[in-house]
Amino acid sequence: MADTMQRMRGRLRIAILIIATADLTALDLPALITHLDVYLVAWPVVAAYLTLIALLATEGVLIVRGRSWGAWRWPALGLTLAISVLVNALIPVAEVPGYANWPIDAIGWIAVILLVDHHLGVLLAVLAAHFATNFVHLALGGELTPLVLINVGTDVVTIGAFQVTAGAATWMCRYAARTAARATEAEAAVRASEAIAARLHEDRRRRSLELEAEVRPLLTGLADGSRDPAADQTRRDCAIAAARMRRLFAGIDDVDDHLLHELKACVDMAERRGVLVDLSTQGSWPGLSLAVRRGLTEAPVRVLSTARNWARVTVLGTDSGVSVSVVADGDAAGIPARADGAVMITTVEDEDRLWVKATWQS
Amino acid sequence: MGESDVAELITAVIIDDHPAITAGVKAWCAAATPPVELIDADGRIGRAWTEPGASARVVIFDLQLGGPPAFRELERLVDAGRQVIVYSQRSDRDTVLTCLDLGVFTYLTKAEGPDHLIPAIRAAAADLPYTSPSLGGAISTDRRPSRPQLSEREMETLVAWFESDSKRLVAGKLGVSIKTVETYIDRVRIKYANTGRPARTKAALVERAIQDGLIGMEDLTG
Repeated sequence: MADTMQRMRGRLRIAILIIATADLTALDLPALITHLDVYLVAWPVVAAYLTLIALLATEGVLIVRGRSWGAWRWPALGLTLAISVLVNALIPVAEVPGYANWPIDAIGWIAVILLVDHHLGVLLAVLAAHFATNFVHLALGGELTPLVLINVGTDVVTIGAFQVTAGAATWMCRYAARTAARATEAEAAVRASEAIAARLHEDRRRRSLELEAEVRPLLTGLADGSRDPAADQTRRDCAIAAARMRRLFAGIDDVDDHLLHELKACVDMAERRGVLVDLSTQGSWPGLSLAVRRGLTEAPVRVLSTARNWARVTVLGTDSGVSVSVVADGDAAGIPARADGAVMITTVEDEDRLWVKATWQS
Repeated sequence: MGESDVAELITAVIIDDHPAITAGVKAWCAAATPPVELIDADGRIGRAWTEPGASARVVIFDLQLGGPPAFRELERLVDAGRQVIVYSQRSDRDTVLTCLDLGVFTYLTKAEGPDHLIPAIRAAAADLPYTSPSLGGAISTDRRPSRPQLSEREMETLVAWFESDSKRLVAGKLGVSIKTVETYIDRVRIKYANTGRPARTKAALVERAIQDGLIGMEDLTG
């Protein structure tokens, strides 16, 4: 994903750094040394060269550390363009088309390095500004003759073509990397949803089998007369089996939801004790932390575990929070007023009914 | 609710493709006092349009007759002025609110038994609102921009009604009378009848509520 992009960008930067270093050391350094006597003042030109080498070294360090220039790229770019102007100013106008004008290619490579993450248009503008400096210099010196124009123009076209191609290549690689990253992400999402769907399907299948194991003897019993439809116990067992089937069909559990999952497990347990449980949910809630989930379920589950015959469990998700409520013929003993995760507990008792509600404000 | 309004024998037609549900509802109707006469449409919507189903005062409608939710058929029944109680296994908010917007009388889930279905049939016959806990739950989580404005008290009552399925518990919790609880719940139902797609059944509900002084014109326009 983001990893693919990171790796590709790193390799691109290394490639460009190698090109730029080769250019500055193998071509520009001999040109500089052999023309030291040509410049109006030599030391600023040497300093300019060393500055560009320093920028290359910095790029090397940044690549090794896996970092980018960040906001520093702009002052560095300004410095590079300043060097373009400075060296131009120190070269006699007659030498502009010659080897003494080594920055004519060096500046461009530094710009490609600094603008590797940016739009191709920015690089084009910087290159144009740099080349323009040379022409302005020629124009001011009155050297804008056809021959000189052709000489410098040829330089600009050949050098520019390489640098723009390098810039375009980075841009295209970046585009490809981004597309690849997006594709990888989409694939991962599809795979995740497939895995969830498969798990839910498996879960449903398992519960359906469990349910069948419960319902079959019940139905056989009713059919062969071994269970009396008028008997309270039979009715109770039927009602519980029906509630479970309804829940399975309603697809309440089709959501990958921890809160509901945990509650469902407790409802299952109560049902196994013979308690008829009605579970209703409404609204939606975000993924909740373990502490909040524990706080929301603790008191309701306690009521559920003391319910004697029936219970109504509801989960409600609104804009302001989530609440879990249980009404049952249960026992209020030991229900606290506060729970984990800043959950509020309210208790209402009414004759044989107990209503406990846990609310979490988001 | 006014007993005098329901003195005559109420006839309802049930459209449900599960014979066990139909048999169960039939037993509840027969056991009710006074009993409700139930016509079995045998899972076929057409039977609600032909006699004896056509003149039944109330239609009990299973939303899913072996396929996707039958909203179109529901809409046609409502447009013909029928009082439809949706009795479905679905409880998701969007389905419930869609039915409400179409103009059904009320929505009950199959988990809600005779304690809700029989009073709902009687209320439907008398144009009096009936809000089941599941309908209350769906309304309390309604986030559509077109939803009517509910007061904080109305919202609290609705949520408590969904959670407890007991008006007495709601009254106990909020410290008000059962009558007040009923008023809050009914006012919400009327506000919903007064929004969205216009339907004759909705208008009848609102008209009756205004006549009974349950809600004022200013509550509906504000």
